[in-house]
Amino acid sequence: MRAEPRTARPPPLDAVARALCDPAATLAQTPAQWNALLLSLRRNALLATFADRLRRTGELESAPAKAQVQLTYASIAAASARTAVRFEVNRMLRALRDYAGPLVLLKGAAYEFAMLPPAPGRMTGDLDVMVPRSRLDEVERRLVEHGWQSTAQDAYDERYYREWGHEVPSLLHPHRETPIDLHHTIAPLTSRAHPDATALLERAVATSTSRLWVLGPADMVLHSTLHLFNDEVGRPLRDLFDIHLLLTEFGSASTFWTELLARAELHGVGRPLHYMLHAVRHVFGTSVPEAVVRAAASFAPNRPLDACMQRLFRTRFAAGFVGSRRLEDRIVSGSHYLRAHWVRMPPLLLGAHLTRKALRRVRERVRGPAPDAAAG
Amino acid sequence: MPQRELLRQLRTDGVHLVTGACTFHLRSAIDRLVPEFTRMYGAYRTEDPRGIADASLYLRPHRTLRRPFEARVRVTVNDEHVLDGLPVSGAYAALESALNWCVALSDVAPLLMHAAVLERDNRAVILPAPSGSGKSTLCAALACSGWRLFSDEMAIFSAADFSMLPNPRPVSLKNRSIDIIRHRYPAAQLSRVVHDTPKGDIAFMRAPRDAVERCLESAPAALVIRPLYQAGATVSARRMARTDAFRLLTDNAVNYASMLRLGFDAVTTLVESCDCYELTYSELDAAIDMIGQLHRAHAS
Repeated sequence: MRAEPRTARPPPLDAVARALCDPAATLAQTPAQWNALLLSLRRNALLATFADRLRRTGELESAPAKAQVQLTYASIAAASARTAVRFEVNRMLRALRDYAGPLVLLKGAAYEFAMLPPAPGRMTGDLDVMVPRSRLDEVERRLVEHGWQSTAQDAYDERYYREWGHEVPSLLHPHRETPIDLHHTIAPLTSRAHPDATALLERAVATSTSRLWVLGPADMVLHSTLHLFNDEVGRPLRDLFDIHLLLTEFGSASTFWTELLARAELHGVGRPLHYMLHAVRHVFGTSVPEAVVRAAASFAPNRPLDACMQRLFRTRFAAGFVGSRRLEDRIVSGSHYLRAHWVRMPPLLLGAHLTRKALRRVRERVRGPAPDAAAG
Repeated sequence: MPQRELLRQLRTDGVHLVTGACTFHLRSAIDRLVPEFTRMYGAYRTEDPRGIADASLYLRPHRTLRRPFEARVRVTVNDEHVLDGLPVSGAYAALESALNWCVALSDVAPLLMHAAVLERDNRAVILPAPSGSGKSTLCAALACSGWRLFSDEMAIFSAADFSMLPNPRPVSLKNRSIDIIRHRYPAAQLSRVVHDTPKGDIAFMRAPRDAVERCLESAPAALVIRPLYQAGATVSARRMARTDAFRLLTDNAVNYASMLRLGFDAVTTLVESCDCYELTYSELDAAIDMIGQLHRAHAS
């Protein structure tokens, strides 16, 4: 594809998005605006990210003293989270000393080890790793031998994850707090998307740390997109910003966009890609070639549904969405929850699964949480 | 500020309450909070014009389907976290509990520690101890005996030089301590007693005026004293080995693990520059005397 001229977009409207894209402009704010911004960044787990970006402009010291304090300590907490993830990877590599197969890091851990723009300031809470399906049992076994314990609550959980999902129930080592999520592909087996795990592994890229790989740029963006649009995530705006940074980083190579569309077709994730391109441009004004947007539109649903979905996502990516008790936000949250399940399993299975989860919640409320399956 | 005006502000934009190292944005829809709040915080400054707050709190009554007639206090912190539990009659206690929580979760210092802190002659004493160990009673007694209160609950260290930053708030007293302090210091101002909280009976002693007026004056730490209440024991002070003191401080630190190198440097500086003791006591008077002696000994 020829490199298309980038269309200039108006600056994003949301204060948080604006602050992230143009940190130095925040220095002219009133204290009331600072209060609102800091609170908003905090809710969206973007405080340290903003701090990092402000620091890079050399203007952190020009911010008001109390703002600097909050930003400094948020940065320290993020550094601490990075250390925890790195340590968990270190322990994992030790446990998997005799495993010679591929280890592909996903999401936060991937950004960290591939030194990608989303990494600084990111609070990654767990370690996502993909291995070939044929080696999954072996890797899990080795980790369990070295002390990791399953966090599955009961036999149903186990079955849900293994048979229908695409990952093993989280493994947590009792001495530490970073769970490891082992995957063999990037979407549940029962979902509408059909990622090609072999193709993912084939295009994996080595990192500077030996034995650790990450997905190729197009696959990485598509995985993050699929996760953000089809799963429940705690901080949607943060994840969208990650994608904005990835697109900005990878987008300068013209082959990237061709790859992105081709891989979306291959893995059956064209629909989320379409939604993502609209959302990321709307919120952050990301530079995306018009031709790519048009091509991705071929994956869109019918116009009314498309409009409805985009509206839903806009609410979801608003800075005030996380933790909001407003009715509109709760409706969107509920809709997304249902949709996330809808896209990952066939209707009958979905019905049974949701009923089961609801019953479990009721049981917990009445009786207290089930005893820890991993204890002892 | 007259109560009427305070009530109006709390119901609308809220107030920025300066307690010292922390500034809190407070809003409340519970009017009955105001008289007690005024009594306890009347001498404190409200920031005007407003700067940047360390946390934002909103208190309102909350009813559930299970209890449609008995409203509880719901405190929302930073528009995100919710603290529930006490009946509306205990709104003031709920506020104090929420403020404690806010200090712990705020990013106001490289090191936060469960400890009482008091100062005399520009040298601060840190009394690290977990909740329920009797340190609040001792702290209240010291505050009424000429020591300047920095905090009864959370020690805050400056990032610049690890000196102590005051954040004096009402001292929380539980169960028997309430009567002890009331009896010993009749002039001390106590809030209403709230019964049947998870920790039993709770009341709060207003921070002495001097402590509030000087709430922005920091002081270097000079002594670390671990208070050990033991019924019937004679008062005694045992010097602590530096390694034990290090352990004591990190055990009581709230954010040590996430503060990495900065936290380590803070604790190391403290252990190297302070005299560290373990104080066993059963009588308050004897404990206060002993602390005074150790404090004087440090100066020389």
